[in-house]
Amino acid sequence: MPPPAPAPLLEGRELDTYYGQSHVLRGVSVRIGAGETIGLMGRNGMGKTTLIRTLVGLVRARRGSVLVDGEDVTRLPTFAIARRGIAYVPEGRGIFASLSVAENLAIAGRGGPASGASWTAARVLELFPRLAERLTNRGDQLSGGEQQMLAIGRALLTNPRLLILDEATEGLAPIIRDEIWKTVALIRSTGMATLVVDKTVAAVTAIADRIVILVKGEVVFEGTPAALKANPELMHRHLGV
Amino acid sequence: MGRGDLALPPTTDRMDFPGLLAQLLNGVQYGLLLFLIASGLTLIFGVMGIINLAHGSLFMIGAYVAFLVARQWGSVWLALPVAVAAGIALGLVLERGLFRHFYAREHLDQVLLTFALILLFEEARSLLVGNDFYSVPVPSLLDFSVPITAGFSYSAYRFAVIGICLALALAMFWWIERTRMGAVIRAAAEKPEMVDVLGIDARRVHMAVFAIGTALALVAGVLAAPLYSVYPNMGDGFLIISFVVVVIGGLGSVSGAFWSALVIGLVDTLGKGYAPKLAGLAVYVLIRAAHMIPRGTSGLIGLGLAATLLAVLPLLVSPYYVELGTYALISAMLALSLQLLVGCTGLVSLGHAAFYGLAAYTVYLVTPASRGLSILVTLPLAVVVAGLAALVVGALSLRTRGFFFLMVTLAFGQMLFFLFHDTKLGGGTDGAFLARPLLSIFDWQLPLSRRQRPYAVYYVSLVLLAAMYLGLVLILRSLFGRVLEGIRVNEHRMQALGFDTYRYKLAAFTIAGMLAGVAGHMWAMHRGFVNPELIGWHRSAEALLMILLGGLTTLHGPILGALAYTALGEVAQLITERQLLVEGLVVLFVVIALPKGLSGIALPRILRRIAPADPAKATVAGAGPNG
Amino acid sequence: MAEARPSTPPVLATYGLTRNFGGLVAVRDVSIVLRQGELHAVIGPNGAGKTTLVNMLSGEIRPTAGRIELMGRDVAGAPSWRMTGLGVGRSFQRTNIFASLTVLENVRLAVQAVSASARHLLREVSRETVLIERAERALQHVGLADAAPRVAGVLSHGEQRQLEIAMALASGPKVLLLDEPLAGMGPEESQRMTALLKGLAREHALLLIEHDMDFVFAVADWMTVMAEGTVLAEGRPEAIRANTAVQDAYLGGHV
Repeated sequence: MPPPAPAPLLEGRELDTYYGQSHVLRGVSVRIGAGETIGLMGRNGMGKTTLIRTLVGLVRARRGSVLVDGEDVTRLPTFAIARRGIAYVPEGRGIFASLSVAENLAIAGRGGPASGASWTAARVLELFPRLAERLTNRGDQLSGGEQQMLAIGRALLTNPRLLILDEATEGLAPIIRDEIWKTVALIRSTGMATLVVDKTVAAVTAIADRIVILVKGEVVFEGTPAALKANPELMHRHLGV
Repeated sequence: MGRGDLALPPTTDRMDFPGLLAQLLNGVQYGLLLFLIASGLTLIFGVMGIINLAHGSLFMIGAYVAFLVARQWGSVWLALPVAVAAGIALGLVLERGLFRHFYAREHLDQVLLTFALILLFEEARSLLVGNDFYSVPVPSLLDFSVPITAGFSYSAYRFAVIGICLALALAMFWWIERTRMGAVIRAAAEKPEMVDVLGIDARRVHMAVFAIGTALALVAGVLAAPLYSVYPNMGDGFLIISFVVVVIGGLGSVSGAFWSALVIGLVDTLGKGYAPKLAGLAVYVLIRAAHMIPRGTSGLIGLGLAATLLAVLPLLVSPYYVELGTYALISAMLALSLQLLVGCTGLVSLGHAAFYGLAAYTVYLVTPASRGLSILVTLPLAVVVAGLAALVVGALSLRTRGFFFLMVTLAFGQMLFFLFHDTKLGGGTDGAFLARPLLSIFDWQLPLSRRQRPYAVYYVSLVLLAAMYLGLVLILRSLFGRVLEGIRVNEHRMQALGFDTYRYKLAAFTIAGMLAGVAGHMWAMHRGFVNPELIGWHRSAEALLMILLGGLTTLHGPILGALAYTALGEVAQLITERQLLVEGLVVLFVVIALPKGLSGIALPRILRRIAPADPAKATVAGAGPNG
Repeated sequence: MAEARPSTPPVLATYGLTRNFGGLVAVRDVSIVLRQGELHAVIGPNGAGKTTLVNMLSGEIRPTAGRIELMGRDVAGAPSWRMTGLGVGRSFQRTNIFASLTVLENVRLAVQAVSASARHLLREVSRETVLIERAERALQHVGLADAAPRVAGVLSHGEQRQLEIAMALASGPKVLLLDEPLAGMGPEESQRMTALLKGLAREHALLLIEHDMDFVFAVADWMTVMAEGTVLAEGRPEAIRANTAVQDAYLGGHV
């Protein structure tokens, strides 16, 4: 008998979510352990973004529950879930276009959950030197890559234990994409858990501990990247590779 | 209906230099006061999405605080700290106790809630102070005039008001632009969800915004009391103008509100500060209410029913109401003509009444003093003149967009206003009577008695309104109409598709001007009187209100809106003071006890079924997750 | 780059095209040639001026200097609606459709823009069957025929990108300018789009901005690499792949 596993950092249990009439998530369960990197994959419209939004409390599940450290947070407001160490960088980046880079960072800054080295504005600017040069520029004056860096840096400033990245490399030039992936690897190496949604199969499988594939609101695959690569039929059918 | 009149200082007829300077200073002072009110409104709307109709009542409370404090202790100065403290306390109580539970609710509920507050505040004022006008003395320290040039001096108190308002505006800017909380407020106005995602508890932001907004409204009331006196419903006029300020300045933008408040203050004051005749509080109640009713369902039955009802109305009511009905129909034509621009093409004009008034003046100018002309002469003439004016104004103004378009149309309207206001062309300020157009062909005249004539005008108006409605339905279904719809949805894309959108907008603007001309002509025929107010921008704003009231996306909306607006004006006069208390409590109870509000019960559903077809169909708003 | 290009006639050519924004030179002295039947890809890092270039070609913004010759005629500075009438169709980087209108109506408006005569302006839309048929053909062309009655805003992202292209096609253009048609598409949708674009390139002069290098190298007949507003290199894909300057500036490890 193995010892009882510690409660996962974030867990969704049997989640059913609707948008109006359409049933988007159908009994989805996911677990993300501390320090783990999960790749969430699947084609457009399969429910990836909805799953994330349900986990962080932006969308309410009709059935099922969301737990942080084993505690039920299903009914808690989003800000309370965020304060338990869950950071979310949405698709489209969600930066405040009318605020300066400095202000975008300033409003996110807040003490981390006590332990460990905490992320400060100085450390974020060290990670993304390009942002340091543009502190007084408005959010909408940044290039796509800089916006993404700002969004990630801002999320880090909340000192999360889990960073969720939804399509962080979409619409970026190849070298910028590489930079983002390097950043993700670096963040991972600090022991922070990450949940990555991306269409670049090679990059995700290179970095993830586990892959979850969603098809029409259901989990059709969950396993290691190696297990996924061993199943080319699955790769082809659901990821088009 | 002069309840909301702003008692601006009298102005001289001739604009010599000191006179102009005084007007400019008055305009700046009035605009800054408007800013204090509008900045709270715009922040509360921008951050929390609440349309707070009771904001004008908060201003009134401030004025009465000044009155009471001055009566008790003899100094208005003491009223300032009292107002700040009371405003913050009241704001916190209102936010925590009431508004917090309404952020996620429909606009109708919010409107009913704030309407109930207006009634209760007014009732409390009536119980505590009574319904008389009171003047509030200017603080003795500032009760003198500052000499500017030889022969011209200006009130020291007004200078002080300008100074205090500017200081408060600067403090606001500092708070919003320079502090972390200000950044959070701007962020929350832009992407509320992301603020939440970053772990920020938005409730504290809401409380702060509400408290500051309320305190500013009270302070504005204190400052205004010595200038304008205190009187029942004094918040109405300021509320409506403040809404115009907020809309023009851009919802949620404090700096936008600042500049637009200054512009409006100057325009209004230089426009001789004539009263905002926009009826007061009750109007907004039905703005959103009527929104809920007719959206997007079909049924010629409804249209037929409405037409039948309007057709038999004169047989059922007294002549007084026939006249009132005619006025409502004329208003409906004006609103409908404006809808071609606002709802169909997405062009918000503040100068639309110019074409309406110009048509009425055209009838006056072509009619000999002794005898009226045939409608077959006057109507085409009025329509052609209005259309030509619209062609010229449109050609010059449609090169601009958004805020600038509003301002340019406003400016053209006011130019025309002053043309008739300041010259003897049409009787000057007082207006002029005219021999009304006759229902005649060549020498044959419809034999009507004096008693029958109002009925005839009513039916002519009804037929013209019906024709206008049907004509617009056909236009919207044509290729031309589809282009207008495309422009409304995404003008930039229309240009990229290859449409010279300017020409289409100009055509729509001209047609709308001609249709407003029909309404203006019927006004002249109905009243036999013209005056500059027909042209003024308050009439344009009234037409916009009717559209808001009835719904932005339909053609029948403006008609319903105009009828409701006219009816409301009448009803408001019938309500006695004590009934307000009962009404306020009833509305408050309904809003709190029925979570779905009145919109949840069966009535709207029935109305929805019989509402006529929506010509501007397919209004599915939100795009997909990627859109 | 001594390589010969296909000798089909040039449809659109720019000479010394330049655009300043305030002090910033977004595009500097760019000369390119688009030919009938050729898929011409423009690549480059963010901020290289690619979208500004397309915006000038489509008439969205006026060039500060330089010429744009469309079939030998200088059209620089013509507004976008005239450029469309002259035969330049485009799609946008950010999906730019009429979200509240139906798919068919989106395309029908595009057809109407270039072909409805003023005499028909007041006729009811449903009677203009010619326009509707042409719109339906354009939808068929991109594989969206089944979606015609749906409201455009509820289409999936990939379908909206297809709709963009149907709208550009509907005006019957000679030149097609496509700004990142693959942005945000999954692998499968990308494959379908690739096939579609290859087909379109046979009948049009096609200019394409795209970040997906695998895709670009697979489909382009000719490439222009931009950096900091100027043309860094141009040539056939093989030549670009081998170009060290391009590798340093842009491709990084992707070669």
